[in-house]
Amino acid sequence: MHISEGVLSAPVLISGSALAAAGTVLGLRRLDLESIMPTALLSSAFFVASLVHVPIGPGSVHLVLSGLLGLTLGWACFPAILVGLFLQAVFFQFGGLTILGVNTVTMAAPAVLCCYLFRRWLDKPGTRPGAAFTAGFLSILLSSLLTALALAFSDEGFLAPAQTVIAANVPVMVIEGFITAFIVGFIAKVQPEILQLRSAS
Amino acid sequence: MKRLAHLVILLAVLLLLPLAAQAHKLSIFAWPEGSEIRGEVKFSGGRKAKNVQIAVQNAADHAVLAETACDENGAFRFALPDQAQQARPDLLIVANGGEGHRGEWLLEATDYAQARPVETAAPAASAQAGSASGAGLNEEQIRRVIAEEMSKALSPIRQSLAEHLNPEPSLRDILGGLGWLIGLAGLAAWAQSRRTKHS
Repeated sequence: MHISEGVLSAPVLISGSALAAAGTVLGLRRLDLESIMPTALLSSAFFVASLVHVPIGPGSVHLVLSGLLGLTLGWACFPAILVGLFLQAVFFQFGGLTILGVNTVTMAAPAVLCCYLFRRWLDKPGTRPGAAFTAGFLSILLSSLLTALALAFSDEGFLAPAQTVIAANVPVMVIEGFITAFIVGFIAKVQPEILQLRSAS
Repeated sequence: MKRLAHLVILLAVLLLLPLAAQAHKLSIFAWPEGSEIRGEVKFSGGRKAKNVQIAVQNAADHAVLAETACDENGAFRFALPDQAQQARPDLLIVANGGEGHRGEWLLEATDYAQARPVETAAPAASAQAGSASGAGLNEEQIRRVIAEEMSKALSPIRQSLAEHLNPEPSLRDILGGLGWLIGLAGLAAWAQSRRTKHS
């Protein structure tokens, strides 16, 4: 999911950074005293999730957890993912510093969309697992599409990379779906304040 | 209290997962062996990359000097074209794994030239030596053979040295990152509490 340094053209890098900055400002505005610690906790989860390697499929893929961050944090997943990616770039040499903006957008934008689409279904215990699974699945699918789009704007064409990126990430989509459903269920049980559920569960 | 314990368990599980598992990043490294340059491409975590395109560039102007691809085991080898052997530029070896995966390795001229001077200098030197004295020719040949053998013998050592320049994320890296996140959260909380106090 992380695009490496030196692959994308300058216009893509600049517009990615601009979009990431806008999303981060929006996200930081919504951070209040209550949500700072959950945000840092989920950012930590995102930071280490990239080390969990999924040994299936043709490529080399790992967990992302962006769907989980989107569902629990909403717009605040932008700063959470940005910081997580920054630390991954510095400590693990994943991605890179110049490409931070593009990678942030490809992972955080689908997460925010999933928050708008599925957040409301988390309130009822009946629809919760399904909604969380779909959010986890869809966020990776959309991230793959955005990654392919970013590559397309820098000359690799769109269809071929889109196919390979999506094919490589199909196992991740399914696994992310299950993990998101499991963690959301777990948080709802032990720490429902993080999810800010509207009705008592 | 019980809730806190649950959260701690969740965090601990998340922390322990990566110890058993691995991650991805396309890493490439190369070293000279005799007159050739050998290399390996792999995803971090040890998974070998297959059939990845390798481009050898002049590090100064990014002109492509040679192109090759790695085999099923992620290994590749190539010989520099004659022109490049004369000029001996620093080499930037770039692996393009597609899907936005890219790795590069800088092989400086001083690193691979050591294995080479006998090679490139040999024809001229032996011609000179041949006209001057017979003993010089033998010495040149011996030097060349020794240099080649040394280079072959040193190859595994060079390989493991190069491998160590691409370290895997360690527990120290992970804990360092988590420490940063907790620190940032503390910073944000402090800023927030100041703001609420002032207003």
